[in-house]
Amino acid sequence: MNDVEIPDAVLLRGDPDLSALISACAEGNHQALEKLYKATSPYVFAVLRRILRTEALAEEALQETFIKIWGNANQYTASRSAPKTWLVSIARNHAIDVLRRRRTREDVELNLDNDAIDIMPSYEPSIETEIETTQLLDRCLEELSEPARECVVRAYCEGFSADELSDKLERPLGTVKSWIRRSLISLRECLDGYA
Amino acid sequence: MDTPDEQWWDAQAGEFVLGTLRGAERDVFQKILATDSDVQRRVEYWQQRFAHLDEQIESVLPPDYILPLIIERVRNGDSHDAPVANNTAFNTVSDTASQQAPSTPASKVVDTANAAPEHSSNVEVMPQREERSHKRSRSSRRAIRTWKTVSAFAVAATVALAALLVQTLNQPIPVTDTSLKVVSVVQSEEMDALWVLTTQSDSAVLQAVALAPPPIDSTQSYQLWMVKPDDAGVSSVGLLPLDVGETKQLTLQIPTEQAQLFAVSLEPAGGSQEPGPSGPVLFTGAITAVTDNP
Repeated sequence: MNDVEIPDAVLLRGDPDLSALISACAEGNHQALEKLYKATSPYVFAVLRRILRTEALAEEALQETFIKIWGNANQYTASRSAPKTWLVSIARNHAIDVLRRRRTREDVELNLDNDAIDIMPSYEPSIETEIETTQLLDRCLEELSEPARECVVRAYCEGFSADELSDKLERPLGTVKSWIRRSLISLRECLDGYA
Repeated sequence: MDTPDEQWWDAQAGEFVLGTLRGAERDVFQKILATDSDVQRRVEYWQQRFAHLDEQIESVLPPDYILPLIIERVRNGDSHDAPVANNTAFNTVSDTASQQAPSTPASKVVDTANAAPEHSSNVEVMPQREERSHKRSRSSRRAIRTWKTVSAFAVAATVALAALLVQTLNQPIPVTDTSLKVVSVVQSEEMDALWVLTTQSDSAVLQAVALAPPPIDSTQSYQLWMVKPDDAGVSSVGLLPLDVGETKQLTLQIPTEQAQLFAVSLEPAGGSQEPGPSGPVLFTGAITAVTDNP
């Protein structure tokens, strides 16, 4: 295999050049995969744990995610999305596929009352160091009704389907679907309006 | 974001990223996503926007045993998602997005006989989709129903949706030549999907797939028209297929850019003998551009 040495400088700085590592993976460089894993797996693992809610599932999903990253590294286009966004999209898609294959989450510990709220954006004024997109998303989420915002955030962060949200929030499925749908349209209009 | 259809695609892409698009809907969306640059752009938009919600998460160190397993697997050539040939440049990977469907039949007869010359008579059609202000939720509901109708065909593996997916996925020529230009779902007043119409960016051929056209007797035909904006008349496209799953290729007499929507009239067998529809206009389909490709 093409295990060319990856310069440490690529990895040692605070923001490792993930794009370069992904490109090296596309060329079959196992060392690049290892370094990419070390640089990003804690973040990806956290996303998977949040969605899948069990250690075992998240660990298995982490393996599969990096196998997919390896196998599809040649599809990554740096100009189209940030490396972390691409990595997380693969992890999230895999996690959702895992959830789809499971008929229920009956053996999955659910804790709707806490976790999602923990990651709900703060609606206090954004701190100066926040990037513009963060501010925009916060602002636009704030404009949604509370239950609609809750549906959007919990769907994204915890991987809940509309059916599950309907059950957990004790609201009709049609209402939940409508909240999500209208929220997305409103978010798009809001985000574009601020842009 | 100018039309309800664009809003629908945006919302569909948003639901895909959120993860609330599930089941057959997600499968079908992924198949379209694999090759459609416009849908890819919409998904990327939402991925980038929602990525902020991931940034607030606290990293968790995974167990040490995982990395050696991954390295061992890749060294052994175990990659479930082997790199897909250059049929997509999209940045999303999923279990189903790269699945290949059966290849398309190599040839189809292009029906030009039924494509009457362009006419200038006006046509009354059912209420259209221009009143946007208060129709968003209604449009979304309609679109969802349409999507679900189409998805149901995918679940059933009907020839109809297979034809649509073949159109979007499986022609073994470069993606720049196979990009969908327009998709239209002709619907009934009850919002049932009756035909799917697709065109390619580099072709005047329109492919019509019958999903669930209402039965008619042998003395009648459904004729497809392109309706021009500003009461500028209609252009016949041809007679639509009648059997569920039947595919027919028709030739467009004018570019889709010059039309406002598709309309279907009920005509005597063989089509209207007049410059425009001679029978009632029963169904319409919005013209939705689905690609940015030049």
